[in-house]
Amino acid sequence: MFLLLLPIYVKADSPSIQQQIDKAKPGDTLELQEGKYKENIIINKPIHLVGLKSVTLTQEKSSPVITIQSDDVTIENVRIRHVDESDESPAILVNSDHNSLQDIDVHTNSYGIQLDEANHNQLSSVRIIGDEEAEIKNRKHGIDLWKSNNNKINDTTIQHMQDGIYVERGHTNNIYDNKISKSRYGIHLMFTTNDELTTNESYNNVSGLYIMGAEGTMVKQNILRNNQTNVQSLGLFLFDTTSAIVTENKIVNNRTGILIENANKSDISLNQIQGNYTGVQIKEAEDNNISYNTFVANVAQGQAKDSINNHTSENYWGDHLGLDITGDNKSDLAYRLNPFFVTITDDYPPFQILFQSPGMVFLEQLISIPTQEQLVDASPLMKDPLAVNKNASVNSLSILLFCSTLIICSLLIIYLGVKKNEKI
Amino acid sequence: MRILTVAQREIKLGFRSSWTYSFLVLLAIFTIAILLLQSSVATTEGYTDMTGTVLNMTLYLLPLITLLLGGFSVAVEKEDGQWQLLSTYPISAYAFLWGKWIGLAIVILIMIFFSFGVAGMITYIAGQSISFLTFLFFLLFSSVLALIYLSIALLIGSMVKNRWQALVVGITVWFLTIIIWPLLMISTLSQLPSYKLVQPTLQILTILNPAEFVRVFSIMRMGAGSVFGADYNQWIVWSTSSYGLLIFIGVFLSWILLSIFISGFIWNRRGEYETN
Repeated sequence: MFLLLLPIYVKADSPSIQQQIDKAKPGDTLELQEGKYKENIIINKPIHLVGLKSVTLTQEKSSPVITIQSDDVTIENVRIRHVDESDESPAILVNSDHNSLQDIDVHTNSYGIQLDEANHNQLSSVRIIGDEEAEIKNRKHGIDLWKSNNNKINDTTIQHMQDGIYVERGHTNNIYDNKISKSRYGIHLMFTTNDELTTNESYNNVSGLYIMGAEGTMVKQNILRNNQTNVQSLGLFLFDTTSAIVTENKIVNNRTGILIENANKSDISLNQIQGNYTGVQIKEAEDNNISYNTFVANVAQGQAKDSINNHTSENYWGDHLGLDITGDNKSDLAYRLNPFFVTITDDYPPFQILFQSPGMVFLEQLISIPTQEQLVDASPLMKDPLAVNKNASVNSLSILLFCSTLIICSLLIIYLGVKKNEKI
Repeated sequence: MRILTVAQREIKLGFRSSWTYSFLVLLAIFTIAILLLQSSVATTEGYTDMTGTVLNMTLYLLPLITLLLGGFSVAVEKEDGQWQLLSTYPISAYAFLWGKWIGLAIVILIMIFFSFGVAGMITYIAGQSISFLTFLFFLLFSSVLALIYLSIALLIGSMVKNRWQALVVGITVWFLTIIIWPLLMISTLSQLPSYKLVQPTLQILTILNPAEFVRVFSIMRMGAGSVFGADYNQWIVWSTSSYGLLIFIGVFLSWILLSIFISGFIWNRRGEYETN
């Protein structure tokens, strides 16, 4: 009975995977028998590796558990255990093109899958779990792409890594339907060109998406939520990017929904930015188009500084009391993003403690800021294009109620004050 | 026992005063409005725009009411000569002040509870859903805030000569600690010779301002401390830890004890001065 509980490694006399690979001819399909293998393998010919039932491959020495050097390799249904704690090599290293990894389950103390100058690969249904106990700064990335182009990464689940998917200097990579949580950044792009991120979900990370120094990134229909507990948390960070398209994303319950800094010529539209502590922050950004977004229920809607040369129009701002004279469903009163708080906290970060303090709200209205320093939405929408009907009507009712309350209260105090000159 | 007698008298006086009822009505209507506002928008729990609005509205109104009620109540004793009458009995200034604090605390807490009760009922009847925890959170927040400001009100009351002074000083304290606090901090602290001094000075001043301290602590306990940025990482760590609540209670109690202690001190000094 005890024997059943012990890990059963495949017997020494049965051939190791490496031996099987060495014997195989290019184009062969190798079926791996169920069991636990302890070895590091190198694949240097185009073969198809399939795990039957449960095949677990545990790292034997300090190098990648699987190294793919040949093109056209397919690996399916294998579990990888990268156990060496001091080792900086990834669980799977890919140096070649046109490979496919499917249904791979990786537990790692280092990188999950690394693509090093590897192109046209597809990673799908991959599950990567890092070391939960390790500090975030000591972890490595889940999927790490270096100078790799035209790869597809889809339906992966990544947890407890540093960055879920990290792409540096690649172009035209397509990353979709992935779920990343409990890591530093969900997806992190650095100096990339024309990458596409669609329908990913990034949640409970330090930050959802980091896009830095990238050109022509498409960010569509992603869900970035609950990235809020760290003092640096952001939903989406666009830094030093050009020509990004950010559209139809749901950015909810983050610390800051979107931070746009030094970004140019981006199109940010049709996003739902809701329930964040700060909805949007815009700093030193130019020539961006920000329209048809919905900003509702953020503690502070938005702040912008040194960013007047953007095209901002027809967004819906939940706290805006609009006035529509012309009847085109756009307010004739502009919505202005106040630069005061973001300017003061950029110069003196300690003042962040005054965030939305009652006096700060008062002060922001009090201090007059020259119009030419404000980012203005000249034609904010009157109705939330994404709202359920019920919400809107309840909203106006409560405003009505609130106003009438104020009137009743003031009347009451005046009445009592005049009437009574009481003595106890 | 004398403390309780004074407290009983205070409660009786409090509930006979029309001021109490006018403030009660004001507070009730106000609470109903903010609770309806809070629950009307479908947002998740925690620090949301509505929670923020409610906290700020409470911070605007409740300290002012408390400062006026408490300040007046003490100032009136001197103005009408009732303290002279009382001091013919063997009662110390501290017993008197503690009695007043307890009595007024009960009056104000009753006001808050009544308002929240009515408001909660109405939100319920109106078919609005409000989470019980959020409701309780607002109630606790209001009560803590009121109790601290009440002790400051007694301090004001013991310093001033009459109701008018109590009114002026009360409004000044309210205005300084709540309305122009950020302006004050930004304009003065940015003049400090070294940038490094800003953070520690602001931290100390925040602890010294009951409104800010209660607000910041509440937001941190809600799990939204990250909103204050990297400079307050340490605060988030201690305030969300298990002893964070103890530290908070410690600061809360020292506010009350210190205020009453200083009030008593001033009260005694004034007494000697006036009899001489």
